[in-house]
Amino acid sequence: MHSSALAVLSIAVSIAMLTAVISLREQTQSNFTRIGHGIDGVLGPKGSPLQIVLNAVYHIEETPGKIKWEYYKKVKQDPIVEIAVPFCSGHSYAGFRVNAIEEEFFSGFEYQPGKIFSFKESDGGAGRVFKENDEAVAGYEAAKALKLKLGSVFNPVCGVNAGDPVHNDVIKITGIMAPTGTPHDRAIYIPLKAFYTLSGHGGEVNAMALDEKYREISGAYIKIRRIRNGIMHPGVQDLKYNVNQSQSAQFVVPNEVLPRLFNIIGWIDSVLFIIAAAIAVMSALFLFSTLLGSINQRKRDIALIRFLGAPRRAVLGMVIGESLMISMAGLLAGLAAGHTVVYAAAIYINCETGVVFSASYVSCNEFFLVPAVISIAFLTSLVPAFNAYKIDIIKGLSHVS
Amino acid sequence: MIIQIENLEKSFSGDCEVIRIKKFELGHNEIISMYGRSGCGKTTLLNILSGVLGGYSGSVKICGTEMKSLGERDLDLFRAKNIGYIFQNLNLLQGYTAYENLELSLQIAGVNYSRDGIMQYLEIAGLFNESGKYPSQLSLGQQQRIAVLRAVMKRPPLILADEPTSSLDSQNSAAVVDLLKKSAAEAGSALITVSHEKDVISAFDKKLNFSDINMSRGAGVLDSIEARPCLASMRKAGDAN
Repeated sequence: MHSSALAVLSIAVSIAMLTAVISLREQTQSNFTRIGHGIDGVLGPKGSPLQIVLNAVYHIEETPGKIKWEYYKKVKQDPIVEIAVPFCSGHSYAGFRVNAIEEEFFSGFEYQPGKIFSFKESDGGAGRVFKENDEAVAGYEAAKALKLKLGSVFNPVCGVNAGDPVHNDVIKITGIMAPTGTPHDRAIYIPLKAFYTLSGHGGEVNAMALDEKYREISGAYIKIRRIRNGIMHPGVQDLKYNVNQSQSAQFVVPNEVLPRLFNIIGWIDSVLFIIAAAIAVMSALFLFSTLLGSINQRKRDIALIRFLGAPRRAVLGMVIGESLMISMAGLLAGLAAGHTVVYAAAIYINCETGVVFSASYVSCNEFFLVPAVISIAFLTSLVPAFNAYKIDIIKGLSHVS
Repeated sequence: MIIQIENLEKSFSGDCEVIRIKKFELGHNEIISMYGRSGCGKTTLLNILSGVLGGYSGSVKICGTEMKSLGERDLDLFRAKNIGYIFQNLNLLQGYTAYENLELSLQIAGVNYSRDGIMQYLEIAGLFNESGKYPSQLSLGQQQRIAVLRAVMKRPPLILADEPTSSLDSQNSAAVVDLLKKSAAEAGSALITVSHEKDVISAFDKKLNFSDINMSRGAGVLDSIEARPCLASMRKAGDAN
């Protein structure tokens, strides 16, 4: 009984790991790809494309530099560019990024196809978009974590690291964005021009608010026109080429950069997958030895059942059934544990990136686990079942376990 | 006749003859005790009668069925339906409760049963409150009474009891023998109780000295020094009595 419980546990651990790895991997790829669709491209400074995507889309890195406003305007005027929303990053409040952005971000930018940011109470939002330089809107998760309400005030930090100086400017929250399940939920937004006028930035930066010639931005979210059925205009390749050939900026496509990120971190889930598979193999061996030991211990019981009239094939079926029951119990416990792990991971990922993962996400691959576990349980039980099948009644009854 | 034996001979490892019975019959509802010296082949006979020991010559018919003519699967089925067997000890499934031990036996035999029916039997045996207990939670006397119920509840034509009281004290022994006799009579079963205990033997009206029917020269000397190789071969076959 004790060893059967351990067999259930070991199977459950391997299934939990497999389930969690599969679920997290698939949700990571689908979530990050989906979010990439919201932003066709990021116009950013020269530097690491991955750093630009992480900074602009996920608010988790620092910008590698600035680009000139005039260059941004030039790109914006390209006929294939539908929307170009400039932003300045580099500020924060209580661990959450404070990005300066143009108001168009809230009215015309689709964070998912057909979906724009909402402040409606029915959607979970509140208030309105900022109008003045001393106003801000907070993403849903940021507001929730910082307990920000309409009318709440804060002082932005000049930088994103602990100990960075705090601006004297008092900013008032005028809007809470409805939840989007994207990293935008974990940011606070102020007007773009407010960035340049924050006290302590110095005259050079203040001048950027007045004179576009000197103005600089961290980057811009680019939305490319569609030709039909949501297909992006092919001119995007020329735009990308031209921007990247310039000395002023680069055009980064999140959907191209993120797969590279997955390639970099892909080994992690490969290793986890291998560990889970190794545990699965060990579980099968443990189940095998458990069944074998159990048959040896229960020789007398099996002989007695045979004496009572149970045919050999019933004994065979009994052992195979026992293996299947142990394995199915392990499978169910493992699936439950795996989804619990995903639930815990989802909370952490949501806190870190704002991306929403679901514990109830069921991968198609999970359905393969059922026949796989049944097959392994069946194969594992064959030798012990055959041993039970062979037990001689008289010899078995003389066996004292 | 329930049992018809003719010219039965059983040897172990060639020359070691244990049983040679020219003729033996047991009628319906007949209840006897069989006694004999230790090692004289009584358990071997019971094993042959129950169909778990083959390799003999002669004819053994139970309820008119020649045991040799049955294949293994048919023999299992035949034993399940027609023979109740009580071992000396350790004969309950340890992972099953008293109730489940009885239920399993009925299920294997394909006998219709009800929970109330099983509980009634348990009540008769004074074990109504022990139905949910596992064998390890029962005394030896209680375990043996469960074993008796298991053998008689399916109402088989033949019940074989091999030293059913050997591990019990006199009080429990009397209770088990009493339950066995009454239950067999009530079920209309023929009963052979093998024992070497005088109290048990004397509790039966009909007594049979195994030596009277077993003409084997090797029988009864299995405990002697000369017969030890023979005993060893029997034990190897799992049939040491």
